[in-house]
Amino acid sequence: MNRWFLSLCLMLAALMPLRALAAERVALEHTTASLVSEYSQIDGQIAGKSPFWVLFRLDIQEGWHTYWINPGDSGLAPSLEWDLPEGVQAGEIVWQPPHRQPFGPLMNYGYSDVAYHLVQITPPKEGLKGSLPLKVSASWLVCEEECIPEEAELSLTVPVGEVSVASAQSEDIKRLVQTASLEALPITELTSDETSLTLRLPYQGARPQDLYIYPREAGVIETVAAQPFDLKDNVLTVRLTRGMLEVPDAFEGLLEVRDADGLRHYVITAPDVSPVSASADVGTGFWLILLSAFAGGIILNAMPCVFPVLSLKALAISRKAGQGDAHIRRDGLAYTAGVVISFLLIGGLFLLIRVGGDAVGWGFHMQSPLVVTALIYLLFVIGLNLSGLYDITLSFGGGQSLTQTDGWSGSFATGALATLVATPCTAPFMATALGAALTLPAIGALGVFAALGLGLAFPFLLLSVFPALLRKLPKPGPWMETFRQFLAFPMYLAAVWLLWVLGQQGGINAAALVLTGLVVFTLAVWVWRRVSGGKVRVVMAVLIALVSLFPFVILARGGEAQVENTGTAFSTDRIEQARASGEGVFVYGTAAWCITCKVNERVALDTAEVEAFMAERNITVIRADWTNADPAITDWLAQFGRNGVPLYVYYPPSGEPVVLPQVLTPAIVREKLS
Amino acid sequence: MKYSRRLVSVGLMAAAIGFGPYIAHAARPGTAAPAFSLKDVDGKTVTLASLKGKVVVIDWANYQCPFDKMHYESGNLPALQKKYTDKGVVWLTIHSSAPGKQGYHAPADMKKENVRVKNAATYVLTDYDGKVARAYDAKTTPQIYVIDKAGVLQYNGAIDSIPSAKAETLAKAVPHGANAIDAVLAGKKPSPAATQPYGCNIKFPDS
Repeated sequence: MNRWFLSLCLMLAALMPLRALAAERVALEHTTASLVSEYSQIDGQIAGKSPFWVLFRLDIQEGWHTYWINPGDSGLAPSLEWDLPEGVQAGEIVWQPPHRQPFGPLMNYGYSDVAYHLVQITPPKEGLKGSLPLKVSASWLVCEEECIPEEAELSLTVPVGEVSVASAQSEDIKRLVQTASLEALPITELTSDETSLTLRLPYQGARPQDLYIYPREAGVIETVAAQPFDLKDNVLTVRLTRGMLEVPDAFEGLLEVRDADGLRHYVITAPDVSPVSASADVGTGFWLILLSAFAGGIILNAMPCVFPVLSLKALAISRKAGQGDAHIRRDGLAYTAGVVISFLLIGGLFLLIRVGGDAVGWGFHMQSPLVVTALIYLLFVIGLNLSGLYDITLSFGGGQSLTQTDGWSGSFATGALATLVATPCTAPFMATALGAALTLPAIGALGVFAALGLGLAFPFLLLSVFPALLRKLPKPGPWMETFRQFLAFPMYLAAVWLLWVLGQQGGINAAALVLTGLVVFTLAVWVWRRVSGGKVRVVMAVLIALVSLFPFVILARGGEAQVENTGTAFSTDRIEQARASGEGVFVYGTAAWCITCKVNERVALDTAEVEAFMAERNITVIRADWTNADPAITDWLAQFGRNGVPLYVYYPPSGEPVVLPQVLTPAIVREKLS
Repeated sequence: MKYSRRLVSVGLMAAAIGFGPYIAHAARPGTAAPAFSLKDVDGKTVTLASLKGKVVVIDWANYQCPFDKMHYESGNLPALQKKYTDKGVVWLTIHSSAPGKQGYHAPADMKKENVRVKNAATYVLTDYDGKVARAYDAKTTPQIYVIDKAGVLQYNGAIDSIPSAKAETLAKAVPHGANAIDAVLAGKKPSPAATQPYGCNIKFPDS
């Protein structure tokens, strides 16, 4: 009955919002609204030249709050409708940094205690006489858990005189103007995919203990999601979880930082290059991205990973100086095709993996020790060829076939090789283009890859289209053999670098294994050259060459062995059983292709600390492996409103299940499971 | 191998920070509408599965929220409910206010409230534990969802374009919700398919 009465009162209150008479100050049920000016008297002469501040202030009942321009998941920002004499202008509300107000799974942005809304008033150019009446119809929503709309007519008359006189509130207003004037940080890079939005900002200072980004537009991010960040080389990278709405072209907001010096705010402003959001139309932004991809491709030519291969190409091309223009042109086109098609293949693979739900980055294939090993072999074998150890024409640019008419296939292969070795390198401009490619529709993404390829091939394409340029190069001669042999050394160095990469991935054992393979391969070449006797020679050489490939087999196996398998397999019955017997149950949704899942497992779940914690508390750990489709797990995910992994849920022996955050640390696990 | 594993995990961490976790959002237009089974105020169980083949509209409601009050008591929402149920749409009003919170009414009282606000929905459902609201990622009351005949969510968002609890704004606002229902009835994709809902937050149970 009591509740009924209360509801009735609330209903009545909302039906008939207390419309107060115009005054400087109006007290309502949950707020007191007031309007104050920077000046108690204003100079009529200078008025037109200098705008001044007024403050719309809400003093809020304890426990209640009002909202920022982006109210968060619910609520409404105050609105002010001014009624001013002709020629007088009122600006938009200048906001103070808001606070976060979490409500279960929701979050609001706003103010408690007192909310200040600064508005700049611009008097007419011709000046003022008599007095300046300022009237405003203000309406705002004030909420505790329940929300009440309130409104008021406020008015304030500022007398006009010979001089301006600061009002009693002038100091307060100055201070508020200060706290609202924030240093601006331009977003240098903004990339988004289906689920996240990553910002990069220049940032001077120590690593913040904590930060939060308030977007100016509602619905763009999940307000309650964690905002993991990283600070490196004065660049702050923050990852936001996307909300339901598209990321606006001009993403703006506030950055709140907490560090040893306390709490600080910055305005963050849109990047210069308009970002491309997940389903952005292919527009001007897209052409800019293509252009930066092309520029990135050209610069890639000078990158250390591509340079050795390109020197070969330069060598091959200088040999052609004497040949027909048509021939050279065809050769240049074949090389370009090799580069562009290889880029498209890599791009296609990129997109396929993306469809599979995994997050990949540029050079992702280098994460595979097998691919790295294959490149080591390739560079080593080419190096041997250049050194003159064997004369098998590999057509990679140094071989004889380049001087023959079928040279186009060699040029094509050079293009493919250049692409392969180029991938671990990133040139300026490329990062933006690739970041954007990740978020573009398939056709657009492939366009970006093609533009990159075109850029990489461009210098040679230019040479072949204008063969006159070629004639400026030194004439072919015996020096070329010397140069060819010299070029073997950059190849070996590139192989050493890749071995180092492999060593990082697979340890010293993997590196030693591959080195042994290379020695065995050299043996095969030696047998080929030294042992006489037709078929026997061929069979022996091929056999030894095959043996030299054994590191691939071992590395491939090693990759599988690394998959962890902690926890019982998923089934809803198991969860019920364990709970029935009074045990807590921790269920984690994972998949082999889910990078975040694997990180969380390595960082938190598979650590001795967490394993001991689970054992100590007698918590049954159930692994819901979603690597392959599994309807039972899909249903379980849906119970929590998810349709993807990771998902971490703790079912206490009694009570509601607890959903853990997407990014885990041992501390988070312990806290949530306690 | 321990050392290399750490390196791999650091690499993975960097990749995860750089490229984001694989999480997909529930209740994005274009995805399957989450299944549910809820009781209506008469105790009848209504499941989404049983409504396949029909266009389903959901309005999340809390009759005591000022925004819902405006849309109900101005007659705006009851008129939409009447108009579209006449066209064969199944309209569900879902109440997720937890016991003890604003907008909570036991089924019998809720029936009286329905009469008071002239609710003309096909069913008025109660979701007192807020589970369905969470599955739909519903944030506010009112909030409108439109599900097509195949069970695919086609619209999630605000009832109209002007966040306000004042009836004067109704005439000026773009009726996003009604436009979306019209589009889905015509077999088209609504545009916009998602908008920022406005209103009171859903009164979930204290956790």
